[in-house]
Amino acid sequence: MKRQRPPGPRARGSGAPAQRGSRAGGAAGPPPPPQPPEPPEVPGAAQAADRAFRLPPAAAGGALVALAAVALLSATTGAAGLAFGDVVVALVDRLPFIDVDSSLSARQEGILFQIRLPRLVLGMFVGGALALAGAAYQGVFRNPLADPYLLGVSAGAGFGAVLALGFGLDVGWGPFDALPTAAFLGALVAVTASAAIARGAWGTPATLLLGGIAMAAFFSAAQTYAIGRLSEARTREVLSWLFGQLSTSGWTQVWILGPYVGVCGSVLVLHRRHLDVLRVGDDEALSLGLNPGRARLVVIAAASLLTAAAVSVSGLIAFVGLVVPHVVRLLVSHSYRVIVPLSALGGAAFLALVDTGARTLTAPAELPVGVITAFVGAPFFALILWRNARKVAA
Amino acid sequence: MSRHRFVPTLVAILALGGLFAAACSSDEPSTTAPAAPEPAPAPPAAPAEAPAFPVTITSEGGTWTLESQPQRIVSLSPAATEILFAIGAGPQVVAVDNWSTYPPEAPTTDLSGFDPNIEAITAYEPDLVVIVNDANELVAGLTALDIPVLISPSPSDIDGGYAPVETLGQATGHAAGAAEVSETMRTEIAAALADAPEAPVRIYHELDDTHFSVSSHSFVGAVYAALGAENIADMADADGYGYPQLTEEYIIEADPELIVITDLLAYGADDVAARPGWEAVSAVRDGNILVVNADTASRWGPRLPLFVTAVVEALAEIAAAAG
Repeated sequence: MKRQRPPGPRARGSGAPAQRGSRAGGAAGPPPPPQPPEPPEVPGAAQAADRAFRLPPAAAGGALVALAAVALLSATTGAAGLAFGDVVVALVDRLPFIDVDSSLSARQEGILFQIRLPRLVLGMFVGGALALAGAAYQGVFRNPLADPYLLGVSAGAGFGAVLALGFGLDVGWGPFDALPTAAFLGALVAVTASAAIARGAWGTPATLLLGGIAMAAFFSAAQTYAIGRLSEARTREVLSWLFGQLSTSGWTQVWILGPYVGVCGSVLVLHRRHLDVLRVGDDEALSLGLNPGRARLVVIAAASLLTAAAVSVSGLIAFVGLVVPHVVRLLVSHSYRVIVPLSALGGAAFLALVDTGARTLTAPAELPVGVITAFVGAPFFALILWRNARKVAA
Repeated sequence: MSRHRFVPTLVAILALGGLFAAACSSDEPSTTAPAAPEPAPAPPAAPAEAPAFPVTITSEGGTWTLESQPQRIVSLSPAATEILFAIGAGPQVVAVDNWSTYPPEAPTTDLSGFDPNIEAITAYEPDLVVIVNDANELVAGLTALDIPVLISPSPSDIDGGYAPVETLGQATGHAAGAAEVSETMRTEIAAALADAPEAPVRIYHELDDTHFSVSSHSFVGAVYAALGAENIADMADADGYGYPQLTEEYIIEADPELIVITDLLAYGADDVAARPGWEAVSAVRDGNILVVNADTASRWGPRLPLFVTAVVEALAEIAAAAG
């Protein structure tokens, strides 16, 4: 679990800056090299520390390039076998003020703009949302095992989905279908219950975490019982949903998830400095003028809302939220000012890439994306972990 | 997923067993009027024909010698329940599982076939338990209690379904009824097959809205293959699993002329037609989305001809429109 740091006046945590980008640093022994305390009020030292904790432009640029490359790859490959050039021309044609003749038929245009692109964008939104929420949870709980489903979101959403699919629970309203709405509400009920059990003990994350475990177990049990009462056809639907999938109905899911990604994502990115401060402990955070309980409440609320929205449109996609923040941490920096934004970009690129594989590797068949995320992600993560084993900390 | 696939050799052995059973019983005197197999199989007036017990039955559930005609049958298989009532063994059935919804007079209980509870089953004091697969070590448990158990497997194609009917007839003392049901079904299905159009029609059978489908390696897919349709899911089932998940853009590219869904889904034909990007698909454009009864389209039972006939009618209509 968390590596204890010696208490002290240091405002900010470990020796990540010294190790960034170098394997030698990772292999060199006791990880946080004892650095002289850096009281933030010393201007020179504060600036140096600030620089070290800032998002390196090269890493940000690299993540953006990777995301763009994945987007292009995903948009131009698929079971329908649209030619690369034709897709590019059709995409350029849709840009404002540009008019070129697309050679795609009406059906092919439909495949590209109503099926392939919405799914690509949804994959990016869901992947980014889960990784962002995972980074936030790991920060507030100071726990490397934290993932977006920690407070029972997955079990609550699953139970809601089962009720909607098999027992006629119809809470759909307007553009929101019954199933995603029920999953969303189920997730929120579970998280709220977890917080209620902990009686708002935002200052002691362990209490909240245990409350989450209780709620997750309770809703999992309810879900398992309910699935057992379903007919075979309905069981199949529920299991498909639980495996996680990015099947879209045009752009509907993208429009539903988009506002959450925008609002909650902004809140989390704006709180990235608070996560760095929370790493050094609540007392130190208080002495630095941050109310740890309130920071935790805001971050957990935003991350849970974001996760619930993502789960409601995609089902349960594991692994992304747990591992992407760790990969960023191991490859780039321990600072949450780096981890939070890069996790969003990295999660988006990762899930879009994996989903491209899900719909092309066995085409015209499809693989469940929730299965491949871990299947290809786990060995990759294992390699990164093996090379940086001494750097792990939340 | 939860579909159970049977090893082909076992099916073959069972089929052989069925043939032996049929051969042994062929000179049996029949005193029972055959039940009309569908849509409502009325139990025959005489509940039992003159049975030749003891009878030895063999299935994956082991070999059992039934000393006398079973009078307290528990069926945990919806397909077997339909068959039991059709061949005239209905009065001997004391309990059926929660998904045995047909015929209406079947004594539906809350017993589960997927997650069977052996104590709940034995509470009905059965002298024969019919199941579709051995979940929860049920066979071992029933064997320990000396309760005969018959596994009546799901066939993988139309022809494979007759042998389990013969076995059920043999085990319940209704061999003649079983032969009668089989004969009627063969006749009706043959008549439907004769009406199937020559030209192959592209067909897509959707199990759920994540585009799980059935290939020709599944029972329903085998029906489509027998009808000469071109199943778009076959391209996606290289390893012969039977229930591939298709990727959406392939479905549209493959341009099915007939889409089949069941009536047990949370959505209907209108919802399929309204999917973005699907408007250019032939089946959607021409309004050829067939909603079939989920039971008849998944159970090999006496109502199978209903399903086959419905599909043949749709195929013939499409072929005729295509000229």
